[in-house]
Amino acid sequence: MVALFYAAVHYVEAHFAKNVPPVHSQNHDRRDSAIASSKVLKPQWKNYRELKNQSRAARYYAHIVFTQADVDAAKTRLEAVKLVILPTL
Amino acid sequence: MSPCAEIEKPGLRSDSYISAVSDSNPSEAQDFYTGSQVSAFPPADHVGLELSLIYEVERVYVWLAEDDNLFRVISVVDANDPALRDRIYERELAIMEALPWYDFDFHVLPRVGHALSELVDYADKPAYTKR
Repeated sequence: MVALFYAAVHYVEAHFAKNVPPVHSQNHDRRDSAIASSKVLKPQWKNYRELKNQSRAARYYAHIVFTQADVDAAKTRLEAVKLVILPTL
Repeated sequence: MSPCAEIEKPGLRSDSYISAVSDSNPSEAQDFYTGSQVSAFPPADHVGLELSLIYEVERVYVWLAEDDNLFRVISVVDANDPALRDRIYERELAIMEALPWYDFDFHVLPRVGHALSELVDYADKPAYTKR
């Protein structure tokens, strides 16, 4: 889960790096705001947010159990983010 | 650090504007909050109200970070349900659009049947509690 989220982070950062001048988010909060105000990435907010939420849950909340189906669903969300971003790179 | 907002009743605080929301039907309340670009309420209250529009959200914790520009927000639900979280994410986006001059660190915490006090050390100070 953590790796899938950070893969999404790198795709998002790659997208913003194509701006003129290039933009790199200083932290997760600034990146979230940038996504919310991006015409390209805003439609992917829910997918990105779920990856972020699951990543944090995996790290900090031991009572939440992850199944292979959860991992597969996260992979699908990451693919959706990639699908939007790759054409912009 | 304690959450910066204390809202107690469903609909939420005893202030008149809060009562107006709790007395209205859900669709009216939703239109009231999501239609504007500028919130008429203190930001922490706006956050709690917006997220509380989702029935399954049991509590909302809101902290204003030390730089006064970042809100850390935790929405507590019982079910570990991605479809429910998607609905919460939509409300988060509405909050970010209504308060664009702030940054937000949102998190959705599913209790999954556990008592909240087992999971976090700030359980007694929500910005919003459903009774």
